[in-house]
Amino acid sequence: MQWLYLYFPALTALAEAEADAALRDRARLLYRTSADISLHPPAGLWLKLKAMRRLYPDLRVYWAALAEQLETLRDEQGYHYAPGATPLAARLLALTGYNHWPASAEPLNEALAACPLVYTDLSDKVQTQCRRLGLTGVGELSAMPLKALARRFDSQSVHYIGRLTGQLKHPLAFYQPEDQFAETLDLYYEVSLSDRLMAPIDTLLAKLESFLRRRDSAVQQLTLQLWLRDQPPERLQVGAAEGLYRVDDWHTLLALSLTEKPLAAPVYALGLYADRLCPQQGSSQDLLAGRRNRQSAAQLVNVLQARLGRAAVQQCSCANEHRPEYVSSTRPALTPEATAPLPDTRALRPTLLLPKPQALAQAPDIIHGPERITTGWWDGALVVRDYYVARRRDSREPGQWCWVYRIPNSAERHRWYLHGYFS
Amino acid sequence: MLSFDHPLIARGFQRPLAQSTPLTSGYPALDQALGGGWPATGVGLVETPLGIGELRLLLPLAQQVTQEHWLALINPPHPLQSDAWQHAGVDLERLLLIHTESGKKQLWSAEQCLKSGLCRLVITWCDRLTVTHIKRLQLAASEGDALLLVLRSPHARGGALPVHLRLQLRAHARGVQVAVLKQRGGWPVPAFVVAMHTHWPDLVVPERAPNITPFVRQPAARHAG
Repeated sequence: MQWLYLYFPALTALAEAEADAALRDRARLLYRTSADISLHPPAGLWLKLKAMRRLYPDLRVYWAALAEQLETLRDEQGYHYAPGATPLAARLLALTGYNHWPASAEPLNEALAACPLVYTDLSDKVQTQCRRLGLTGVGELSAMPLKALARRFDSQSVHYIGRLTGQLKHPLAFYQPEDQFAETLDLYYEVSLSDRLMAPIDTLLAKLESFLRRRDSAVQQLTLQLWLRDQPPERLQVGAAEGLYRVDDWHTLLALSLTEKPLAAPVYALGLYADRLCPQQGSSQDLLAGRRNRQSAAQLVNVLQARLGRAAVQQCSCANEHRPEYVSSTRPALTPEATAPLPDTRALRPTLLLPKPQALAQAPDIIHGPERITTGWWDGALVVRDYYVARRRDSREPGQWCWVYRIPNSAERHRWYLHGYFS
Repeated sequence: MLSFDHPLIARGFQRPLAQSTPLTSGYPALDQALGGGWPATGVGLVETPLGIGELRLLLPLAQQVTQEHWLALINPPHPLQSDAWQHAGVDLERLLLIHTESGKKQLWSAEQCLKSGLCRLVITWCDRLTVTHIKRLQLAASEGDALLLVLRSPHARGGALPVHLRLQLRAHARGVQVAVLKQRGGWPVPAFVVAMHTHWPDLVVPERAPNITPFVRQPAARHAG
């Protein structure tokens, strides 16, 4: 007993694409228990038993585990199964509805020998030919040497019988689980309130969680597709700063993104997609640290970015640069820093810098200065400025500590510009 | 009679007293006026014009906070010049900058940051606050053991708000002039000067020696203001 064939009669009635999807679903389900699965469209699966024997010395225990998985399908028409020495032998017996798990190989061989030719994959012409020759069962046919068969039948049939008896090799391609998550859900009724959507989304997220758990991975981005009545479908991308897989984590983020997006029309179907998987990161929290319900930085950033957008939550860093407007750089929070950090120059700099220098109507009171910055001639943004620390007199609140500059040796060298506040 | 403060009565919903030790401000004069430093949790209102040194008053606190926890700045009036912050010892890796379009989202972000337990200090610039806002923020602050400082312009309108602390700042030649208008568990303190010459020696108006008469270049009237 090297092989097990599972036959699902319900799939034969489906269209090709649907049957294929359903078969893949079943393979995905059984992959939790069994390692080598080969698809046999439209309605069959081969399971290789050899590899599983090490895990389940008693194959009946293995079968019990498989049967438990198959129960969850709730397929009304059920399934047929049979073990066999070769893939085709198992298939043949399964088609007859063998549905046994024999203790030894003998009853299996007897059942196979008694199997009528109708169940084989031989063509009608060959079957008629066999009947005329007086061959009624598979046993009689497989007892004949292949050479003798080759004289009477076409090569396809010889091949089939050779594979059935194990005289010829039968290579099979095994199923590989997908690395992408794609699930859709048709709603029983149309939903027009976005918070009502969260219940069906949770069922999709639960599937995602089990998908990710099995792969020991997480995702950083999810795509939620909403099919709207009389409108083109809407896609919603939700990102997270770290890989997440739990339903609760994604639930919060999706709920926040949905509140920001009013629905244009009632939703009748949902789809959830994730393709780029990343490894799960464990987090350790100090139980005794005292501070309660402490979130990780990534958790907080995820929540904020889900509502405000990715660009709204930033971190800043210093670039190795002398022009004040190029020193500060911001990046979305928790992304790696792009520039090398600045060696501390110990120069006095304002805490707030105006995005655009502002011309001052009146000269301020100079306290310190000047500090000349002449740089940037190589990239076209030449800066020649004399910076002063000054206090303003002309604003509504006098006494502001300002960072002002003049452009020396130019026509407007008496003009003052406000560039920052020593706030 | 057994009072509710009796140590034998377990009060699970209250945090231990040790956590409410104030955070030192780095300025002795301010620490003294505030009874040890900034409150450990709650909402503080700082009424200040822009650019008089109000952030420099908070920088030692920010530096101290980012040693272990995070600091969130929500809607600063201008972009930060990060090297100044780094120079002041603030760990930029633990500084979160948040920009929001609406006031509603600003308060929501402040609430999230406070509640998270990650940010020890949240600084935001906001002129429009109501009693409901403050109460909600206070709840979030106590939940996450965090301090929220709201900086607002002295011209902002608003009635009495149930904040823990209310300061009024004015520009001063030697630092910042601070008046404590209200503090929980303490008395108001009339205006005093927080000298900044130790922290920012270049940002104080140098005192002239009494025997030097300045050379007047411009009409004296312009110096009067």
